[in-house]
Amino acid sequence: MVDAYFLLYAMNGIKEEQISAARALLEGGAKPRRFNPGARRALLIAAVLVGLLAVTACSAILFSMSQRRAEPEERFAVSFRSGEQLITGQWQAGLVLEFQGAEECAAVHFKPGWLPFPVEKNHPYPIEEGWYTTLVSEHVPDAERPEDLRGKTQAFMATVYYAPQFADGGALLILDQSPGQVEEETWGALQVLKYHTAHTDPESREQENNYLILFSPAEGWIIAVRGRADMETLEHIARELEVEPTGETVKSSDFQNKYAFMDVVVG
Amino acid sequence: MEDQAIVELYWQRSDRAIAETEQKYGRYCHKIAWNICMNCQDAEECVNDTWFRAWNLMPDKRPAALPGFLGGITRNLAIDRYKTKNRKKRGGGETELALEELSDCIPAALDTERSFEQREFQRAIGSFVESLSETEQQVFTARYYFLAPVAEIGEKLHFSQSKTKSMLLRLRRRLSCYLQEEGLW
Repeated sequence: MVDAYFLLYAMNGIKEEQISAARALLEGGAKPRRFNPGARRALLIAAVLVGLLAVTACSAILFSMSQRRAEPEERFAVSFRSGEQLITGQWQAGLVLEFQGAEECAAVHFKPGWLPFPVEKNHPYPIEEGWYTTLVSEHVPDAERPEDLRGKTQAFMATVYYAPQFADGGALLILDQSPGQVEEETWGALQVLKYHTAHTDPESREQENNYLILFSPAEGWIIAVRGRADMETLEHIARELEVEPTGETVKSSDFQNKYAFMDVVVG
Repeated sequence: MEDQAIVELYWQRSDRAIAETEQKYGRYCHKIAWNICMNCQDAEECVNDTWFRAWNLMPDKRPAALPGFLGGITRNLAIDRYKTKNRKKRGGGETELALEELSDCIPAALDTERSFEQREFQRAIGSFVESLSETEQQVFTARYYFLAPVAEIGEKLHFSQSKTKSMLLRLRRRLSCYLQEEGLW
């Protein structure tokens, strides 16, 4: 039987040139590099797309996503934390994203390459400098909005979800907002959904938001980019996200709730 | 002393051959053995065995790249020693971690007798590494040839540990794909 020792011995097949270069690295360090900022950005986007295409080219499509409108009588058992309080209930939903596929996938984080507004310093929970699983900007671009709402509504937010959380009959939901037409696109190896929502909050304020959902059928991650920002802005943010695995694995059993919602929160 | 001169000493069966080799490459080989064995005595014995093995191989061999030749011998000796000593116990260390990482690249039930030999894997891995970018080559080789800790590799490249781990994860996935495409499993 082959074991990992077999591969360890087989590393002797690495050519002398590469061994010397790695040796030089370990004994010294990397050569200083200079980046042309413009070129670096282009390379970054290209690297993401090529990486995604490469993964898809040699990987089976492990996950699938479908979307539907919830039936009027349909209820979903959603729970979430509000401060210290755990809130549970049977909720109606506007849009239901359902997933099928493997019970685990690689965890990812993302790095924004372009942001139109500052992000919240105490809210995004960066894993490491520049890398996020949740990113929020509460900058309110509309100066005409009521003063008591300023700073309370997300200009945009981006969050990572994973298909294995929903694979066992669960779903990723829009609860309070009923979307208009859902546009489907393909960006390289990614399936993309775009839609606009409008709803009235409990204080009778009209709320309009845009949603852009990135889904990787090969890797099982979902990144929802949404907020009050216009779709063009959200698309610019989404297209310049660099996504990479964290090295961790996410399993269905890691999640207590098989439903999650991605509504843009008011207040 | 130049490498070719050291090789010449081996071919002349000169007593100075091993002393010159040890002076120039003792630390290098010790580092390779230490990364694998994580034990001073074992590393020292591997290095001494390397000189003995080199003495027996030259002549007939005339290595074009002496550090690679010596490092390869040390590496194999150290893996052999580690494997023998750790057959029944599971210890920490970079070798154990690297073995765990590499186990993702091949199916657990792969049968070596089926269709390939070690040299086929070596050839495939050599080609795979050649296909990588310069930085990827350095990261992959530092980790899986030299078994250098992830933190050390990241530090040398000014990468975070997370970024280094992510790069290694992607490289292992690509290796796994590459081995499949090559028909090795």
